[in-house]
Amino acid sequence: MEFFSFLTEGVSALFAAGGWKMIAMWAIGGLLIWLAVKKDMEPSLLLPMGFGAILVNIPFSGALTQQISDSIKSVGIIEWLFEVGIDASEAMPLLLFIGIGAMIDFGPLLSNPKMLLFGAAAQFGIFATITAAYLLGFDLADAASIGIIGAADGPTSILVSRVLGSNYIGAIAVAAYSYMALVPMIQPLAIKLVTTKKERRIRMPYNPSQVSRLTRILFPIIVTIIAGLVAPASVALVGCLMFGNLIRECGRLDTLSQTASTAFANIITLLLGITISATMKADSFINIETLMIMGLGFVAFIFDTMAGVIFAKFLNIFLPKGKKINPMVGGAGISAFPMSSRVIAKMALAEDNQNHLLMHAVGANVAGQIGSVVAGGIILNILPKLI
Amino acid sequence: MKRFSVNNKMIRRSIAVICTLALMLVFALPCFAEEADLLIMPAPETSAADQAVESIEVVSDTSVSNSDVSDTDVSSSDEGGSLNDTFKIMGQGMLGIFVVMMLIYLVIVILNATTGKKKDDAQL
Repeated sequence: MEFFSFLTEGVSALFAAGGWKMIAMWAIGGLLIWLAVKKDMEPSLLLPMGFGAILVNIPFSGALTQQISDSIKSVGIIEWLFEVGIDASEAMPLLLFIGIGAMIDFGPLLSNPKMLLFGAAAQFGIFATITAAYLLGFDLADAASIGIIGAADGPTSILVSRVLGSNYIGAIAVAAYSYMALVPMIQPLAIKLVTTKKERRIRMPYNPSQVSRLTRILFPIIVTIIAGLVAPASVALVGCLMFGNLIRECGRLDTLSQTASTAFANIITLLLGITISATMKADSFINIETLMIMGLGFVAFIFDTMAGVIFAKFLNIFLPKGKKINPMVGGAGISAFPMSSRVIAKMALAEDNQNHLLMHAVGANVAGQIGSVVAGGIILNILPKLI
Repeated sequence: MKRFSVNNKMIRRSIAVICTLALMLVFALPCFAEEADLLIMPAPETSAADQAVESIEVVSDTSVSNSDVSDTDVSSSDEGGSLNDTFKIMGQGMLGIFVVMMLIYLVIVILNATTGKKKDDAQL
């Protein structure tokens, strides 16, 4: 039987202590793949993460670094990608931001800049979740890493949790991307809890001011400088986002802009998903903390939406009749672009089929993109001084 | 009267949300007596905090092999913080975000005013 033992080592490991966790991770990986394929929930991330979760939870997986003998060490590709692409300098999330910046059109925000306020208010969920996570027993660094799920931005969540040295990067990434895909279900629920039908029917005429090309070019440069002076730790995040946008807006780099927003972003997305699965090993993923993180992610998104809506209602106290803001636009201040703006626009049309809020919501949504990366940078600035 | 009933509904909803949050807090707090003790204990020594800050600078230079937790991992630090720290993070964080956004707002307003419609974009 020993002659055949090399064939059964893997199977034997499944029946050893803790082996059931690996099988549970296969089920979780399968669930993520099913959500991606069948339900079309963020397939570009959830499918690679799901498959990666299966890869890294096969006993003695060659996708992870294994000490085969005293003198032979096999470096696993997924672990290598993690060490180089995320652990060394958080390169992958930052490079992805270049692609995202090249996709974003800040025109609706530049023509209607008061939407920036909602991009700020809707980040409240991050900080409320930090407090909730702390109350549930996580230490401050882990609580902040969990709270950043409320940024509704995958790369920001991964980067902040990696820099803070959180043990829960895998769960945080899964929660962030899953809830981003669930925005069409979460946001209507949260908005209806804190608004009346009359408020949801408020009409907002769209009279955008003209935005010059010079403004579009100067905007990313100036935003990077401002954000960097206030929160230096955010320079990498904001800088990469704005660099991508500058490539798009300068008008001289069309092929680069197209590459950044399509092929480049797709390559990084593909690699990021499967790389994150290096943190989804059974021992660190199958525990009660993962469930708590999933619950806290839900709390983060709810608080984000409510905070944006309530802030809009607060501003309405000071605005004259006829110039009121539809509070739902405040809910679009989260960073889940463009899904959140579409959800808000659809809700507005459902309440009043003549009420077109899409451009207002898009303005708030892109403001939320800026707000979330600034929030991430500010947390990286503040937290080390407290722990 | 109609306006009064709409406000009444809003007040009820707001109270429901606040009560739900308060209940969550009430059930969470007693479960963690150790953390409750931290609330009344003095803040950690600054020397330990300085060491934690230095360890964060090392984290980005240290590679992790075969482990989810680096040797200089902040989360493995004994400094768990306190509830007051979370409120401090909340206050400073929201203030910082609003400050940045207001500055960006001013910049956009100035840019839109100075680089208005009159200039021909093609001349750029």
